[in-house]
Amino acid sequence: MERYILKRVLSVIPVLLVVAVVVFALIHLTAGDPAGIMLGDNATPEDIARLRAELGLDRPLITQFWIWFRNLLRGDLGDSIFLHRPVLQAIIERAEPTLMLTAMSLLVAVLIGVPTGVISAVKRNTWVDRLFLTTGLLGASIPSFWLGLGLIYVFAVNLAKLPSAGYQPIADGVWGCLRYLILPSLALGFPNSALITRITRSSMLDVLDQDYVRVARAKGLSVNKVVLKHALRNALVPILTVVGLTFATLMGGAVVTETVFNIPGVGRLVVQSVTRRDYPVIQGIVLVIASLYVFINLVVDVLYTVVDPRIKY
Amino acid sequence: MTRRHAGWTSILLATVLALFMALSPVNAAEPKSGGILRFATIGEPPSLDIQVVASDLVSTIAQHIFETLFTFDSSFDVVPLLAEDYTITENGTLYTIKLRQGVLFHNGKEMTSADVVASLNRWKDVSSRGKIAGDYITSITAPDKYTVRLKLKSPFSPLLSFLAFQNTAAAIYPKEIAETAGVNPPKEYIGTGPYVFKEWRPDVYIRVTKNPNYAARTEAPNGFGGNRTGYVDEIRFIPVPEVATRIAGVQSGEYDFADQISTDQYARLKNDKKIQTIIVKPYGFGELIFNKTKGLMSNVKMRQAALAALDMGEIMQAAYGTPDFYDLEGSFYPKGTIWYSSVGTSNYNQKDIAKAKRLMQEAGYKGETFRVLTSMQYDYLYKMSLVAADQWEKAGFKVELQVVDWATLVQRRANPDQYDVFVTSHGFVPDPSLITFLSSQYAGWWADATKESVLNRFNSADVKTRSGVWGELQNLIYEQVPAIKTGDFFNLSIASPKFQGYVPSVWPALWTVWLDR
Repeated sequence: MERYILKRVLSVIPVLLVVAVVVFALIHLTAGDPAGIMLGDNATPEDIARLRAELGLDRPLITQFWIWFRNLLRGDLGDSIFLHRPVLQAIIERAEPTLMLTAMSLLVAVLIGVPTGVISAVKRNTWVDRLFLTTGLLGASIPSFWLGLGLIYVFAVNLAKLPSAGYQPIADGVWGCLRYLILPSLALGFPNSALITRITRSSMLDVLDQDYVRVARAKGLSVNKVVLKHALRNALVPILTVVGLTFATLMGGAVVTETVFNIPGVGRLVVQSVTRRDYPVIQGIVLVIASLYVFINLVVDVLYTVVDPRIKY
Repeated sequence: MTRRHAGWTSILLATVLALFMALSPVNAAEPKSGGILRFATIGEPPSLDIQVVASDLVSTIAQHIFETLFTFDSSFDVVPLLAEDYTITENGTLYTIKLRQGVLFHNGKEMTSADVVASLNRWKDVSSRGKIAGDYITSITAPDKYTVRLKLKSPFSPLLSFLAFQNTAAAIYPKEIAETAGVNPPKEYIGTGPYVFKEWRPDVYIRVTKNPNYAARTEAPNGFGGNRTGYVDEIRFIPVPEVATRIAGVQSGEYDFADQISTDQYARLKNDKKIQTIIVKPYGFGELIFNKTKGLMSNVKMRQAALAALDMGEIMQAAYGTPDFYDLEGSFYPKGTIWYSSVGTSNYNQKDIAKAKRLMQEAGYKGETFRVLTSMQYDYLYKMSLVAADQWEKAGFKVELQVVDWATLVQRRANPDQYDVFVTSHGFVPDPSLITFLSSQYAGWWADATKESVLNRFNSADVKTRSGVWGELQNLIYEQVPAIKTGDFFNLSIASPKFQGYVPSVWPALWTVWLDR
């Protein structure tokens, strides 16, 4: 197992290398200039040229890449052009809201997706099954920003029960933090629950047709016990895969949700950085998210061995 | 020539008073002190270096922390702020400015002429507007602790307006900060203003608190002048880039005030009892700025043809919806200001396709592509571009609309090979010399000998005759068409019902505001 993990970790290196080159090239080949944005509308070409030189943007692209890459090898993601602070620090400062939002949204997605998927499988082809599948389809079709604005309108503006925007760090109080996260995590988690519902349903259907389930029922075990203890556990591998993928999707979805709910997280930072052409921040965030994606996949692969001891690496 | 502030006529004072009363606060009730004011801003500023960054957002926030020697009152006349008094002698080439005594920086140090000299020296070196003034300034000296002298090589009559303007402002920083900052943002934000910089949590808020040692002027508040002592204990400038979130935030009580609300929301919002709507006039004007250096529009007849073809009513309606938010005015300044002039405005809003076609023929137009550079990032600019492009096509131009994001537009407009006209807007500025496209350095590059000559006369004219020369310059704009003004537009702000005492402005000043809790 250790050997497998080491091999997987080492395989991350070429992946990140490709990501680094592609991201750098894409960003720098896109038109736009951070110096012009920073200095505002009435900046003269001389002012812009001076700032460009100061930021090193007047150097050949290959030189800029080499400087950035050399620093990257030392673990230095560079400094934000706009925020005047190290990129890593800027990401760390905004990591908590994004991780909390992603975790809460995943919880929402799993708590909706797995039970509805299991019930749909057990009650296959009944009105309950169709209701859940239709609701899931509807949920997957609703853009999270639209759902977010709708939730704000109902729960924050009209009922005044929950805050409309912002974030409170967990260190300032767990309930306060959760209050700010309820609406955004519903907006982000609900549309993503649909895929979990469908995968859980199909995985459960496969398992429920197996002989050992029939045997368990024939032995007189209750439906609940058979479904939850025997069938669900064996259906977990594909579900775990999709939950892992959903976590990564949610990280991406946080970009929109954080903007709608004004959450000071990594997603909003990346949107703003693109608008400002803050190259080091965009590069840094993409690299960190790519690493996280690879890490999540690794964790999911390792978890397979826990839920299904037959799997060995 | 000697001009002393103390010697202003009673007529001017009466006019200022009348205008001030006309521009009275949104709500007039007994002010209350205390509380935290939460202002949802349109985004995060790059820094609070008000000398360098030209963004209105920086001016809005930083004007609470930093102050200038002069400022504008409600009728946009220049009045002293950190200055006590001033004289202009030697044919307008020597400005002697007496400073107020006992004004403390937020670090407890008294502001003296040494701080002013260091700050103005930095301003003329690093600020885009400071550099324009700096071309005239030969020396800035401090004959004593509370006096500053600015020696000019030739008269530059808008100098006081330049020193008063809060965008790329000649703000006074402590000497040690001004001298060490150079072109970079200062490491500490220390000013003399009514609020003290306390904390900047990126993407969360910028927090300023009431200055307990604020040395306020004794005159009543008037525009940006007079007593600036604040009422609320703390202001939080919260970046909320999404306009729907700003609206919902004020409706739900999360924020007290939000700026730059989509005007198409006005009909819905004005009937909402949970909020108050505020229309800010004057606010700005739409601009179509031609590339005069290269290509199709370097021919003045083509620019005149483009102007003749436009129906500004259609353009402004598409961009701003209801007439509550726009005005079809050809003058670059609204009626009631000293700069209002109708000279040349007969060429505004001509809607004359036949004339456009004739001018295009005279220019020898052979169907070359007319590249219109615009951005979808600002919805009103995009809508303005769509309608203008359609009207130009009807006149016979072969239009190519290049839609890019704002960062790309800013980059491309600096390259004369890449466009023929770009679409933008200009915020209201208290003095015409602050209008950006008048500078031959600004994108589009209006470098014309006649214009330079009129502009020089405008910049050196006596205060009383400047408005006449501005009329000449406006006329030249309508003749040479370096840029097209599409019309005046106004801004929509919203606030919670407890938000009181606000005087609507392009750069919201919150020291007049109190919270009716």
